Amino acid sequence: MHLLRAACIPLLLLCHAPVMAEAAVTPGKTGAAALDINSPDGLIRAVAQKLLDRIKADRKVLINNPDKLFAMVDEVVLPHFDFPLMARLVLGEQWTAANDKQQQRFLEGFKSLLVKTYGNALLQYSNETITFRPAQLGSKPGRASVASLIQSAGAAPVPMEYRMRKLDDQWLIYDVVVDGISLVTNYRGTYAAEIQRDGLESLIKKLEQQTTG
Amino acid sequence: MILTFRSALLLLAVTLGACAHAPSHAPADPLEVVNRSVFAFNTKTDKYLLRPAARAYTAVVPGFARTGVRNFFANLATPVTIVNQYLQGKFAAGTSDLGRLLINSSLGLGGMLDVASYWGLPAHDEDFGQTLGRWGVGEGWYLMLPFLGPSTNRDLVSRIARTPFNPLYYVEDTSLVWGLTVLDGIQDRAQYLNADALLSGQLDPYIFLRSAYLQRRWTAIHDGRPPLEQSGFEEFDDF
Repeated sequence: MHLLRAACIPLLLLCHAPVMAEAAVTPGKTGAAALDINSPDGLIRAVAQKLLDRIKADRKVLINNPDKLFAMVDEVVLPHFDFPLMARLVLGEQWTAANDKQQQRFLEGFKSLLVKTYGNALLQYSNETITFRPAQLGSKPGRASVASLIQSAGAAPVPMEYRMRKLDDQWLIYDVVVDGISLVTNYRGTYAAEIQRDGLESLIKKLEQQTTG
Repeated sequence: MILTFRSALLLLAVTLGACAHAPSHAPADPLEVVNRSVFAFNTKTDKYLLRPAARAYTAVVPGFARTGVRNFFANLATPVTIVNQYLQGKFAAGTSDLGRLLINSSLGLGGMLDVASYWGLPAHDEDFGQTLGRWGVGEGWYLMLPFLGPSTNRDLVSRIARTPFNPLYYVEDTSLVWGLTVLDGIQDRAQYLNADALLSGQLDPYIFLRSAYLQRRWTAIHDGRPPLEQSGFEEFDDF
């Protein structure tokens, strides 16, 4: 009998960043400095390392000042996510139905939601170890995924996978899959239900309220 | 009496469960109204009972001990995994898990130490729900069970079928069984504490959890490698 078992599994989504926060991010054999950020796994490791360093240096400031925390996430993590693609995948058919203005507003709202969620989760973890596996090339050219495993005391190891695509010679993350749960698919399901009930405009408004609040 | 009730429930669930797989972003949830009220109940129970207990557990019990407790309960669940490995025709993995059970139960001090993993026998996770999925039985309806959380018709069958494969079923000391059951509930919950803020921050936590649960089960059935066309956004796969 597992009380509320799985009730909280999805919550692990996005919580990988904190893992990096204090985790022993295993650097490549050549050391963190020599990571090749032009390869998918090199990039993921480099970002993890950078995040780890920043949090180590400014932990107190970041805890007491959420704005600085979000700005840090914005600076270190955001450039490596393909938000326009994520927004399109999350909205699905609704993306095509939306007008340019709505698309832009949704994109902004979704982006700041993720930054906040990510940032807040960032400070919760401690003492996890995270190991990365070499990148696997996807079924199509210009696609890859990087798998990692998060281990923490008293918990089952959690596999986490970054799905990436190459755009203009740069590898960008478009989905994060935690323990088999895809971030994009999950938000997609939630938002589809929301749209069906109250419409796209209402969803965008709620997102905007949530992120400005 | 209880057995008859169980078999009836089993039959009902199998019948209901024999539907095709629905994508996790548009699942079969005809009981949504009931499920939502159960979810609200579970959320309250969690807030006032389970979560505080899990937080206290994490605060008081040191990490290595929590790992030992987790290993102990994972070891108790290994018979279920072994049986289902064989039922799915995964004989090598099943035998490897049998080895794990023997090694960890003895050298691993009743399962608290995962010695087998160090010896190259990695842990697997199989259950009757995954076996039925392998056999082509659909998940049926999404269900929210009181106290127990998310499930489906298929996973409800699994939950009932696995009971006699848990060694605790044969322990006659009722207070010991209850004690261990409560401990298992708490240690299980404690594993997800860091993720609470994400769920409560969702526009609709019910749907977020539903999608997550169904995705996770779908991935488990495919041993971590679900077919890509099930990703749910194939129509946008033009990037």
